[in-house]
Amino acid sequence: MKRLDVFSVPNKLLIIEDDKKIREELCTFLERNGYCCHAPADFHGIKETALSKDYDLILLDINLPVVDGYYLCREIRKHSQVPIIVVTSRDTEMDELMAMNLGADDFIAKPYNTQILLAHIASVLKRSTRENISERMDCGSFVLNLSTSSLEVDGRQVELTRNELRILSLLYEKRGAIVSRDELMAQLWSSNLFVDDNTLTVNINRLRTKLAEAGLGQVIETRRGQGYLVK
Amino acid sequence: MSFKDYIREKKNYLIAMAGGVLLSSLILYLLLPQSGMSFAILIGSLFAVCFALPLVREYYAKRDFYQKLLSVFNELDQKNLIAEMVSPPGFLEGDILSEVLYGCNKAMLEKIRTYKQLQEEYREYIELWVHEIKTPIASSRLIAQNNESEAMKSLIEEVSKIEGLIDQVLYYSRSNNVEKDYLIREVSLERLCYDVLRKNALLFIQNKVSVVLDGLIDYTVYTDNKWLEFILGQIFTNAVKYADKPDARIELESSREPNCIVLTIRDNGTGIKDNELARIFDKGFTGTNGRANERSTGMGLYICRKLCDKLGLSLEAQSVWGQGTTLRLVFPINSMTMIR
Repeated sequence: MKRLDVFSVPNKLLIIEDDKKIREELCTFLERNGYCCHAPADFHGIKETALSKDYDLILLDINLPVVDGYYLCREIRKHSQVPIIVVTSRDTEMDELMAMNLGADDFIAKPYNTQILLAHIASVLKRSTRENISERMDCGSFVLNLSTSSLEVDGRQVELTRNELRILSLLYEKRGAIVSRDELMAQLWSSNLFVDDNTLTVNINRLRTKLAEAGLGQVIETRRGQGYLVK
Repeated sequence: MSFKDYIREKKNYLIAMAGGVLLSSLILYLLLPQSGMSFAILIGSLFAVCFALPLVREYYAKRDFYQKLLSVFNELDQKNLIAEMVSPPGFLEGDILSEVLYGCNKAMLEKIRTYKQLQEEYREYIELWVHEIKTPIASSRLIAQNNESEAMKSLIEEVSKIEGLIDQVLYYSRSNNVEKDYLIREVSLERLCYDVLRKNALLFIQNKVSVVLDGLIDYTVYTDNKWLEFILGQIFTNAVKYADKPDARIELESSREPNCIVLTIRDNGTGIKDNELARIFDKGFTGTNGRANERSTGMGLYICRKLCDKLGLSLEAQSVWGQGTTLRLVFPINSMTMIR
């Protein structure tokens, strides 16, 4: 599985979580999605750990042994601007407000939907590293320009709708693997594009027409009963 | 207490007194035959007046006390606090009565306090339990996600259902809480709907229900975001659960009306029978649809209505059996909600 090519070096995440299983599974899950994770099991001196290396983002559970998560959040924020996402099973408005007031960048309630977690991490990272991200994705025979919502081939530009852009970039993120229709739809939904089955078919067809018109031939292959694939 | 009632109450005493007066007058008359008649009348009247005076006085004292007691009792909101409101009666029976009332009240209040505390402890435990169980649920989800397969996919679906049911428990206990544990903030209607749709994405995708958002205009409302997410989540789940057409869809619409902002959620599912419509917000009511669907607990809409009541919103349902259901969530605009 390959993540957006726009990040050349994998982002380093620090996971502060006391439940052993969640810690390990979260690491596996995030590493599969292209992040580099560090998840210490010992919370003594966790503040120093958090500040010692230059992490790109910290996932912080609030209910911790040894040290209080809110306190930790405030302490980290005193010394560093590293993005912090607070993860907690207490999910009232009060908890959220408190986390934000202590300097957290985002707040996710447990048990999180993994797609939503990924979307939150990506959007916080994007916010914090906006300057040095190129919004262009190299797809081999053409370049996908995410900021202008178009694909560039041989100096020409082909405009794409939001749905088309997202579908194409998702397929290229998972280049070489089959992406099922359900998965494609789930990904679209997680970026606020609430498409249904028919719309997806229509979008894929339009996308194919546009790619063919741009002289790129049949880029998207259909695997009957399984999904779509780009090579 | 009328004078007549009082006289009737004192009947025996009065008869005895009248008998005594007549008898002593008769004796006087028989002993002194010359001047006996007038003397007997004089003594008799004197006796009668002396007997009657304390009775009249007692009547007024009692009447004042009981009338006041009754009127206070009728006006009192919490009847069990009556003992605190009684002024000292100043006569024996009244004293006994108010003492008993006072003791009775005290015992009652203690009992209420015990139950209140029990309920509060129970609620705290439920909240704690709900938060505890979210950790194993979160790890189950991650494990399933990390070992992708058809079986795990369907497991994730089941886990999502468990989550939904657990949320119901949490919000049921919150909706019963006397204290206020919500936070009114500025909420963007569009963002709210998007958040809930994203959270329930799999539900819509796997059940092939599409969403129409053309009529959704972004208004700002003042409410508790988390509570509203739960309410909308319940409404969406219901709409998907009772979708029965090949082109199943949910339409979201928002509009501004004279004193309110209305969010309309319209589906084209089974709908609700006319004679059941009025009861869908009742606790435990499942109806024809619910009985056909074994998963129905009859609690979802009941909790939604309760939460809405607490937040000052109104939730209305319209439906045509076989054609679909429309729910209207009304956010009033008034001076309180306009404060920034």
